Amino acid sequence: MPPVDQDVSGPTDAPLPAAVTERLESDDAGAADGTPVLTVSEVAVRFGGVAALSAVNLTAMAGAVTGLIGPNGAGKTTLFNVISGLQQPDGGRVLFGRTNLAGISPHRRARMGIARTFQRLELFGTLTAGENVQVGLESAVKWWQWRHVRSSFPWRRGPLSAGGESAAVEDPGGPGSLAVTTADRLLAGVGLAGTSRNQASAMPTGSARMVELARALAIGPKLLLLDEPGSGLDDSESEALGTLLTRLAASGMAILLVEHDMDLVMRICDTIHVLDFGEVIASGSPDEVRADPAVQAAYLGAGATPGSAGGPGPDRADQEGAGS
Amino acid sequence: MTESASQTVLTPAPPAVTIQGIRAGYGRIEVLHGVDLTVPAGSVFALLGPNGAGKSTLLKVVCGRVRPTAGQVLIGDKAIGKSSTESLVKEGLCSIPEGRGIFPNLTVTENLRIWTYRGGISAADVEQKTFDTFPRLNERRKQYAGTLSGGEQQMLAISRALVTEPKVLLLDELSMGLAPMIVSELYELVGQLARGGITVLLVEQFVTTALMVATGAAIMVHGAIEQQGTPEEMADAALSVYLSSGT
Amino acid sequence: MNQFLEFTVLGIAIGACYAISATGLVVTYTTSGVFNFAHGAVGMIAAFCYWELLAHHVPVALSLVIILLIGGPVLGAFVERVFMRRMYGASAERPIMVTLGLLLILMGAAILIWSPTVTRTVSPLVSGTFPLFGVNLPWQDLIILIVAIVVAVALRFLFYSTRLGFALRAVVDDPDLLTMSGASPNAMSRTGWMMGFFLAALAGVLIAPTLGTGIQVDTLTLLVVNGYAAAVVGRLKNIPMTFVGGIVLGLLVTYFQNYAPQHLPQGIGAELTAVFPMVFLFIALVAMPSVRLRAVGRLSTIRIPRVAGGRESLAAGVLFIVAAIIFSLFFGPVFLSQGLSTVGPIAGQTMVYGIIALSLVLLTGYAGQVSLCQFAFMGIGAFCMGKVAGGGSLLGLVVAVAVCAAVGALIALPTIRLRGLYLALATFAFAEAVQLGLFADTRVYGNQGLNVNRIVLPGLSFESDHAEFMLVTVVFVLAALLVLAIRRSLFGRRLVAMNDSPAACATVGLNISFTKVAVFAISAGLAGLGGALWGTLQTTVGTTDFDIFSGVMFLLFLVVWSVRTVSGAFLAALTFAVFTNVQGLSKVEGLFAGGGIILIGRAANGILGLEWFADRIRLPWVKRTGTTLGAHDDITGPAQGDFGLLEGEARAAG
Repeated sequence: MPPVDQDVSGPTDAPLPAAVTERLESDDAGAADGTPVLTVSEVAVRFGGVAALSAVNLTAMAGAVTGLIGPNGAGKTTLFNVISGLQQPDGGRVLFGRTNLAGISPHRRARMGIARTFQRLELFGTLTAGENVQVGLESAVKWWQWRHVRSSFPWRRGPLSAGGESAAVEDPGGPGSLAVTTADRLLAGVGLAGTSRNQASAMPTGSARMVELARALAIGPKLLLLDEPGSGLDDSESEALGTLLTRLAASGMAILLVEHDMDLVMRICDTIHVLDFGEVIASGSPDEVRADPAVQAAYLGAGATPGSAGGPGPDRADQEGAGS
Repeated sequence: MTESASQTVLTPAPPAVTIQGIRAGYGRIEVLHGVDLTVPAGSVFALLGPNGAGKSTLLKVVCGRVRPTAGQVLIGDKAIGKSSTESLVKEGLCSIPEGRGIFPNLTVTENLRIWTYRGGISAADVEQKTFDTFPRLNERRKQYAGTLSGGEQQMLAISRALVTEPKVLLLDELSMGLAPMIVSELYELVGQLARGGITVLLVEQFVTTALMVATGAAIMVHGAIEQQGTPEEMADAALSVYLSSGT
Repeated sequence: MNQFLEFTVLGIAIGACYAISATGLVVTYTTSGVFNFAHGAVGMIAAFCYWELLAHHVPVALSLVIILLIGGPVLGAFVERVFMRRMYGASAERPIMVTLGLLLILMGAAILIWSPTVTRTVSPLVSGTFPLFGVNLPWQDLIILIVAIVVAVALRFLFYSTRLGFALRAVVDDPDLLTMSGASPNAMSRTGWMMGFFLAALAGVLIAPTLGTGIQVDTLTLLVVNGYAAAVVGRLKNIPMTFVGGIVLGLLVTYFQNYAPQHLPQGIGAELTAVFPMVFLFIALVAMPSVRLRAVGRLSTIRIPRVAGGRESLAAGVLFIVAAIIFSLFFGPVFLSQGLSTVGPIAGQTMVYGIIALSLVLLTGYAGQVSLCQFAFMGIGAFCMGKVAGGGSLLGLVVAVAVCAAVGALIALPTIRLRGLYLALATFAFAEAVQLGLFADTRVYGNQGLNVNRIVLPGLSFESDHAEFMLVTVVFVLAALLVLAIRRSLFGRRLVAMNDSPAACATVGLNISFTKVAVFAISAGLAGLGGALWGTLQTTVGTTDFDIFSGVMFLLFLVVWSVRTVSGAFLAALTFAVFTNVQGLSKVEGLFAGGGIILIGRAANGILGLEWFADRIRLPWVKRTGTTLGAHDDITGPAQGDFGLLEGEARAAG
């Protein structure tokens, strides 16, 4: 039950804040010449004796929403952990544009332009919604520089002149400062206008997911990894999310979306990869994937159907996927 | 074991599990919005449905790990009320949770020893029964359970049901991430257990797999039972529920 | 050569005691997930009780049976049932605080029961020596060795050959599965605690005879604490490594103690020996593998007090100063002058302790890092103030802050990749090393204490008590404004973010290593400032002002009131100052601190955060956030057993 004065009317049509769009325009992920923003090549991960991922190959292009679906335990969150750097792969590589991400720590990957949300919300519960987004906006700021320290003290009054700083990420926040207004606008952009003073941990799930999304957008990503953003959302929230993601993709962002909500996935994805047993068993448009017998078998279970295209043969009995 | 089987067949027994009007959730979010279900004794009942439907939550309510906010659950003819999982286990409930019900940092034999805490069975018996049914585990008895393959881990997990001979067995996504051959092997065993008199309530994402052994099935969507019926009927209905034809 | 053999055997014996102590710690940790800071105190109590029994002519064998086989385990079961059970599922710092509280309760009780003025010696189990390779070795050492071997073998057998042992290993991995297998996780935790206490008591009883000058509460507790370093070597889970670590530590300490002083200036040898375990711990910490960032999905649903805005805090600060002026005019003679022996300068001390408390609000309240060495920084700050420019200069203040900040950064460096528990351990080790190694040196504080003069500037003198009080009050207010400003700033947001979700921080591009070191340095610098002012306030400072256990007490006072707010800092400082200065209360200080922390239980915001308190007494500067919270919303925390599960995950989990 959302609190009374929270506005969940949906995303506005206002242009996205500069913080979000400027990096998209800078194009160092090689989007212009057709290089995929993300290339996952033969990535493998093993936990003990179990292979969570065994040779995953997929790409995500700028300006498109790419879906990643598959039965539970197929390894989707593990893959996200590999791409965002929280998990080291046992084989294969991940390319961001033309850059190999091997050995690059998670926070540096974020600074390069890879943002993600988490299946289990990872919000900064103690902070307000606005502050959550601000942390993202400010992440590149070197706070020890004097100009930032100076602006934190109480004698600073009023908003900074609009023409002052070049981008929102330059300026740390105090009330009325540019970062705060940008955070407010980001929150409004995801449909949470007016909620920036609410404590994050007190917000209902749907709004909390949107705060996490706004925070991810705040770093101005080229690649957005979304891990089940629709879980916990009701129908109208889910629709608003779909519209927002489509708009973000249209402005040039590459979005890789893990979802179980088939309605959402089929509706907004341009390409869908289906993951099963730790590898991609099908890729294509929503219609193609839906009609693919291998995909159907994967979801329903290959069972006793002989020669079913989806299940691996007997000699792969020891190579099984595990829970993601 | 055969004696109890004939007893179950000859005497009309109350349903093994009765679920009435269950509402439950985590914190402020309600996941189950009024579930009604009857599982006949000695049957293998499959609970199907897409992710997020509440199937696992329902199993957790039945085994006492989640308290319902409304409704009641009866095992046999006794309401479980506020009983703890421990006491339910003592009365014959066995629950194998999602993601391998084993201890990864103990060896195979050490895991088997832990099953004897249930009482009434000796370590030697446990090992003999398990290794007779799963010779592969015998070869790996000194191996740490976490290093076994997925199928072997699940074999070890289900050995608990094998040796403790519960009255009601709850299985949560037994087939998760496993190849079809291993899955059929495991479910064949489940069928055997059921024929021996154990009532099985299992949760499965994969319809075809579950229906290999199921004698009854229901599809859950968004926290309530959407359809219920024979396995064949459910198989037909499943595809449209899973890969929605939605706009 | 003979001497070497003698020292080796002695070193192994002492090392074996450390190993036994450390093993108890590891057993408790691996079966319940709680690091028992009170472990050393348990050993101490066991030794004192043993002495008591012997003093009443109870036969040695019977005494040992009573202490080791009955007393220890029973106390362990009691502690687990009463204190620890309610904590499973609480935040990471809570068990640290509760076990620290238990430590203080045990020490406080011991001091009350056994007066420190009496000398108590414990004789070895078997006196005399036996010849080996031409050297006379004490029987006691051999016995200790045998006991240690028996313990090691018995534990190995338990954990790898018995069903109970398997269950003990399994309980931290998956208590739910253990329940479903028919065993009781609570019973397993209880067993773990009983075993841990048994081993602590054993270590205490074995170590006691080595203190030739008699057992004292402080020293004996710290001796057993040296075993913590061995536990870290074993990475808190590997018992054989723990044994190795303990023995190596014992050997190194013994060799150093006996060989080094010949090559070092007089007096330093003993101090360096005291520092040794800490150095060992630090090396072990640096060698620990770093913890991988993992998404935890834990959402803190506690009410957060609102942070005062800039203008608001400035106004509050001015009001506070005005109130202090009025207070000093009316009550000055009673509270300010040092001449009065009963009450002493409580008011001034409150302000200075308030500064220390603020440093902890920053470090522990906002950033969630537990530090047990703020008093050590205080002492270093006072030392700098006294020595620089002949005492009483502004330069001294600056040096105090700078030195403490630098040292603080150094201390924090080895632990940034590790869990918060290790920072707490590192700070404890540091505080112990500073107290025994630095403050104990006569050149630091001298026999009569160090003189620190009041600050005298051209045209402005703080010589009088009244002026000094105003000075410390103003500095306290400035420090409060600073801490609040930090919280409102970008850096403050990062601190809180780092505390809430390190994985998410990485995902938005923050490198939290630097933040961690920075906050520790700033906090240390602030504590150093407090120490320097303490020096000017008291004008004479000595070792006892900066005792490590007083520091722990102080932290607990703060946590009990509220570790996240300026009001909490002030109240903690006030109550602490009162307790330390009022004769009757200072004896039971430890009991109050420990009892308070345990009564607070899982209430994460301390007294000031308790709902019924906050609802009844509206402190104008402590408002609650969120006008949108309806009456039906309960955000006081997740229910038992649901911990960690979020709504979103619940839907996804189906």
